[in-house]
Amino acid sequence: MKDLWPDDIATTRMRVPVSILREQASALKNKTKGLVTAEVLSRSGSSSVYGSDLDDGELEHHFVICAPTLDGYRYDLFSVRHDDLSYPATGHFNAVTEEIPDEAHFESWLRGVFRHERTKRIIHSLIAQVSEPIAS
Amino acid sequence: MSSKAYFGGMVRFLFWNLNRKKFPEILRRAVHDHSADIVILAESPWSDAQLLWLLNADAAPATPVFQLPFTNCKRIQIVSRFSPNSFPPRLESDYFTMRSLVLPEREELLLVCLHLPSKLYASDDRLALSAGDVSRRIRELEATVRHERTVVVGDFNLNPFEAGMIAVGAFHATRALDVARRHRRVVNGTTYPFFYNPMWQLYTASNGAPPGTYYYEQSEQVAHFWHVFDQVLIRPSLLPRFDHRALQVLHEVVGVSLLDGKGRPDPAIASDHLPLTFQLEF
Repeated sequence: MKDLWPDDIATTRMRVPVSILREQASALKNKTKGLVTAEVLSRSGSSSVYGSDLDDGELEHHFVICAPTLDGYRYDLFSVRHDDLSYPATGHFNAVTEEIPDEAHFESWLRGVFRHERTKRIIHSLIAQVSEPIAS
Repeated sequence: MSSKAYFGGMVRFLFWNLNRKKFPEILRRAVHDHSADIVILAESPWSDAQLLWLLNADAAPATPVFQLPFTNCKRIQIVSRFSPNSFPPRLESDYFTMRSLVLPEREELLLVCLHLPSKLYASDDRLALSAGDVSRRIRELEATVRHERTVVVGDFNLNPFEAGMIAVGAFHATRALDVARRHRRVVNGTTYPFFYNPMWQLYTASNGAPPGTYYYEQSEQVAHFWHVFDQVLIRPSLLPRFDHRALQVLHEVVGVSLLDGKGRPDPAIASDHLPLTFQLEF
């Protein structure tokens, strides 16, 4: 049998958005020594019921900030939506929606979200809340 | 004086979309004259400090002062006569804050305060959330806290008759008491809990009250003119504690009409939305 496939068909360095988001959730946990963590909640259009605006085949990931010692407090920081091809994706943060054409732009967009004053304010407020009982 | 003695078992709520306008005296009088214990504001122009100063300026002796519970939700501002420790947030986003209300010797409530995206900006906010998303988060949180004593209040930017309010995958809010008392129904094999929506009574009110909380006239073939975007929903388990007569859309505060000469919310006096008050025995 002739193998018509190219040699590099199984080789890809592309990472899907949800993988990158999980890495960043882990990074946040390390950076805050576990005081503030994050989880990635995903849903798909095929499992949606009325009231959801996801199309069939669409995936949406929510990046949710968590404060485990604040009675499980969680904050839904941003969301990313894409079809089953991963890119292009659409990111929504702070009431602004942006088109994200590829992985490089996704990382750049995420960097902007994480450095945004809004994000810092939320995380700082959680660290302050978590630290308060310890300090008193 | 303990909070239990002061509240006497009744918790009074006031919700108002302020349209980013400052009308301090009217707001202060609305809160005090309706003995609001929990004040929930959307589009508030007040800083937290300003709001506390305004509402606590002439607090009656032995009356608990208003305090600010912790929140990161930027579209909702809350002050409460309850200690912030008894009002912990559970889940928040830019659009909603879901929090427990835990008082000694009382059953815990779940209070969801929200300001959903405006239809005017729906295309931009499309990704943020939908009624279905919020509803799903509520059901998940109810499963976590293991009860359904849930109140949802805010500016939904939806009318009670729209699919986002009625559909099973959305808020599933019914106007019918007997239907709500079934608590839940099964659709396509999935069980969905009901909300009861008391706001429908505005459509049949015959006391001269405005038939909505917001007036918007479009030059379209279909126009509703009056909208009931500002709503409260309760789970059926709270029905025995909900005082239907106490639900009011205020169109007057201490003799000052919030309406213009045509009977519509007057932005020159206060907000383009009318405030909503209700109470629960708790």
